[in-house]
Amino acid sequence: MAQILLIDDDADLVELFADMLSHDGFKVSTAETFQAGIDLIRNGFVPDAMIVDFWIGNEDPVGFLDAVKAEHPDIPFLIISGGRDALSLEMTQAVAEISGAVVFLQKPFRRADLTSALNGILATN
Amino acid sequence: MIKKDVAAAILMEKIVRDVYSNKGSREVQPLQWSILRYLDRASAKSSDLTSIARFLGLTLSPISRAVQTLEKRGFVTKRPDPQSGRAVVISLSDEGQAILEADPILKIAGKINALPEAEREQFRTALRSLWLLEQIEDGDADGADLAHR
Repeated sequence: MAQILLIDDDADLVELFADMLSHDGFKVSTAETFQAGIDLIRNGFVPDAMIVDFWIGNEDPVGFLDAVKAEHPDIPFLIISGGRDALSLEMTQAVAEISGAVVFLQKPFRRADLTSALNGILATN
Repeated sequence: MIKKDVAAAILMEKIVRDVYSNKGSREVQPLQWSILRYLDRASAKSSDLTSIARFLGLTLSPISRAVQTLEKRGFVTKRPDPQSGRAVVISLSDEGQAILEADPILKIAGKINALPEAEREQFRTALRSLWLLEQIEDGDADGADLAHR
């Protein structure tokens, strides 16, 4: 069973996604901050893939992704985002992809899009 | 300001301007290219005006005008959303899919792709840093956190 690390600061969404992904056959661990996510990884949890909300509070997504990539370059990640203030999703996607995102999903998205993207990522890694 | 940095900025502007000003690219305006590109994404094969506007960070009216032009030229199609009586679903037509092969962005991407791998990586990372700096200078309330990088 593939292990997924889901990082998002919206507790309701985390619960919904975690239930949904568990039902679809994934083992899901969750974190609500980048720090909590990196702590899990540094404590020995190496997921098969990550789902990361790009804009979490005032945290630095690029710093987090660079840190994960430096320590575990083989963990693929999917970025989800609903945008933020005046920053367009187009730019968010570009920065996420330069940072190594394999897939970028604009919120809201369909359950099938997420599952299919995850399966695609896992199949190619 | 260091002369070499000004020179680099001039080159950057010139490369982008040249690509968008050649004959083929002029037929489609930059915003229209952005919309075609958005519709070409796997997860957005069809979309509505609001999603496109949100993705590009623009208001509905310029998007609506650009989509109207793209529809007149046969690059996109519009149909009512079966799940909502009022919404309209916009999709890329075969002609729209075909013209994306002439997307000027691909010419620039091709030039980046031709660089040696180490230079490509440095270039991409430098552009990302430039964008982050721009967010800070634009006074984004959260810029201070990005500045820690």
